[in-house]
Amino acid sequence: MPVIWMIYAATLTAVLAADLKAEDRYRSDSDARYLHHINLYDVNNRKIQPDSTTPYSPMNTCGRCHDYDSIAHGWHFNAFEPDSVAGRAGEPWIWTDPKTGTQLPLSYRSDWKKLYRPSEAGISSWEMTLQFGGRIPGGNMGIGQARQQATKRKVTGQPVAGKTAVATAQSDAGVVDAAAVEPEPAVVSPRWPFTGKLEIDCMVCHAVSGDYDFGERRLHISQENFAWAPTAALRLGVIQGRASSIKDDADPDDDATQKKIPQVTYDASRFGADGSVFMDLVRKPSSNACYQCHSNRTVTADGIEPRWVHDQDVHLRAGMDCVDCHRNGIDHHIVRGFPGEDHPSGAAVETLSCRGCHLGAEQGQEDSITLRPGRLGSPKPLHVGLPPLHFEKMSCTACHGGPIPKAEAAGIMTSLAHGLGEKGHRTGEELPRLTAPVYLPGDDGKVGPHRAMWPAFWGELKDGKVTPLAPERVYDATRRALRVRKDFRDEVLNAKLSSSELKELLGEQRAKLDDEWSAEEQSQVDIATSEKGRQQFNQKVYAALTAIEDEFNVDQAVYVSSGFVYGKGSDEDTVSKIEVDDSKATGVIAWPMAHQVRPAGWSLGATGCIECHSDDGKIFSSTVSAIGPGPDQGQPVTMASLQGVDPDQRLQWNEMFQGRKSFKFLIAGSIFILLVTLFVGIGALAARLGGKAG
Amino acid sequence: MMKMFVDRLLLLSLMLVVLALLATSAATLWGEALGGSTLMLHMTAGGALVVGMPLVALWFLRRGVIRQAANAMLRCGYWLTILTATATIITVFLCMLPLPSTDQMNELMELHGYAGFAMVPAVALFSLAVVRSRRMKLTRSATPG
Repeated sequence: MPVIWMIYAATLTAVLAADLKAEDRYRSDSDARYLHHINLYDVNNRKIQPDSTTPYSPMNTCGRCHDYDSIAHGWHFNAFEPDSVAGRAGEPWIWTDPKTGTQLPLSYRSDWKKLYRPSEAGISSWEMTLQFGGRIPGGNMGIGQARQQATKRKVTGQPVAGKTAVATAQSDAGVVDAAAVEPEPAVVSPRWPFTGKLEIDCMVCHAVSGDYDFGERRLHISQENFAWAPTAALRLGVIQGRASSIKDDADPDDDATQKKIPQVTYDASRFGADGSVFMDLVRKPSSNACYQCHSNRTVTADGIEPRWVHDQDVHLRAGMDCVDCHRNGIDHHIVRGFPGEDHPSGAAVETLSCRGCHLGAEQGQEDSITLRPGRLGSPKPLHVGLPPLHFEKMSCTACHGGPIPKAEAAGIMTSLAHGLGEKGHRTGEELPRLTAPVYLPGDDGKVGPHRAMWPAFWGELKDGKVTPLAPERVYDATRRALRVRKDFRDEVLNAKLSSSELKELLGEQRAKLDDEWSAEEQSQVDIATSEKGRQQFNQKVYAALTAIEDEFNVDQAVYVSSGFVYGKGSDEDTVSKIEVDDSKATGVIAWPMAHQVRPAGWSLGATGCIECHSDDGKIFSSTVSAIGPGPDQGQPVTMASLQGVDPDQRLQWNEMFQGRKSFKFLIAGSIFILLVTLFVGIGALAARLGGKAG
Repeated sequence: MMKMFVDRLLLLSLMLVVLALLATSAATLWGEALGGSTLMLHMTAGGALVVGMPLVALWFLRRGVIRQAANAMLRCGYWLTILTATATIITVFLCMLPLPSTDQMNELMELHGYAGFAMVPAVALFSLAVVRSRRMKLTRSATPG
């Protein structure tokens, strides 16, 4: 453990000692719902009154009774702590900017390989909060410097004085004890004093379904009203003002700045006669709360597949909720449910994975009830006729999870990457381009369905490695060169031909009749559009790379997309592909997926061996191509090659399985002859024994 | 002469097949699972056993191994070979049917392993007995009187 973390832990211990001990906290200890008619407190620990103008602070409100610091180290909140137990790889934060054709996979979790650390790309925790805050329940990167402030305040035992969250943050700036400084962020934003911190908002998950407005939360985070988002989302009042309107170099104590600080006008009807507010919440979050960040949509050539053609996860159909398996204690270490999960609490969670729940723990199941199969009434699958080898080579999800595999991996959209849940127009082509299911071996060597992507970003090529450059600075530097208003691909690569170009191509009369073009004319237009796109790409990317080299003072700037690295060509306005041996930049980034889980009848192989062991068995033959915003896409590769399966051997296996039915008759005949022989022997033995007895 | 040639051919084939099966399954002795090309070879050799074992059984049955005149070692080797081979083949055959569950398949595979490994000494015993009985026969026929 790094020294700085030991110091931090010691500081935290002191904080907790000075604060409430766990056993001192009030508890209901009942399964019944506890009604929360509670007083709200702001960031300065002042009670919120109907005429207050400051937002309520979940930390100071909920943290009065609940162990905020323990919660803050739970699964959804510890992504900022590089030393936290990361476990199996999950979906990265994908920094997406359609204007610059960027889809950069990021993570603070040091165990998750091939992902860039935000600080490595020059991204501050404040920028991460602005970009992804609408998809995190607060805390970790969302409190940035503020985390240190909270620690400092508790150590001294003195609430920080100040008028607003701005003042709070400002008053602490520069007085933070070095011991409390976390390893992250390397890049510090000056905007924390204006936006306040995005504290863990308990109501994100614990509000009853329909009581929490995620749209309002996202809106206010996008307006940089971090500290105001929890108040807005519960619609406790109206927020006026945007922190985004305050300039970076503004003086927080200046009256002009103060006027721009958002103000809350509380809905007085939400307050009881005693000044308390009813927080309508539940202990077990509803699945609807999980869907806000954990929804997916499949995208095919026809666009986003409608929801009705897909079935719900079989467990949800059976009446379960997400939290029935993905459960947690006050430490909020939510069980992720993958095989071999090592829960930080030390609790045995093996039977909360698919295999553990349905088949029981692998060892000691006869000794302990808690390790037996059948938890929550789960049926024990017979897997009739399926050789056990499959369980050693494949995960449960290979056959039962993810979208049904087709000839090519489909596109996929996720809540975290594509903001599903927000009102908008989506075509399915939006960045980041993700694809699934991709059948790859996981950390345990078992093949399972993954989601995958290829990074696309602007970076510096040095010593054969590509390092991403800060996306926001890249945008500023390339704005003039790229001249993209909304979408890099639409405006650079797929730019429509002008009327004069069309006239030149098809003639004056035919050029106007775009809905009457013959197939040949359409083909001509497509080719010309593609050529124009390529030419524009070369010109604009050349100019953008030049601008980046000047702005960042780097020797060689490059653009990475779909596994290709583009650098400036030898001539002006030309771009050339550079061979780079850097799998982090050009290789596939994949993470396992589990849901939606399909029942036995809809699993792969339900109709027999040759569903997979044939030339068109999708788990092997389905293809995936590197996709991204750039002009070149990768060649399709089969899942078999990604799994390292020898094509000749696969062919042999397939042939073997074609003759399996006939072989069963052969083997039955063989057994018959051997049994007859054995009976003859038994007969002879019996006769011999009979003869001796006679 | 022809019969002796067939004896030798069958016995040699049986030994080679059993050796191939042993070599390809040896990894299971220290807990590793069969897979890939090893499993493919094991299954190919298994196919040869399925086809060849009835021939061996019927041929040596016809050659009188169960007659009282045959020596005990030969009889014992023969029957042990037939018994273990039958058990080995039946256990794998049951796994190929859409009947046993995962747990039952695991048990069947375990039995398949035991029966398969037991077949090795049985075949060795049988081969040794056949060679010995041949030598004895040759010695007797070469001895005057």
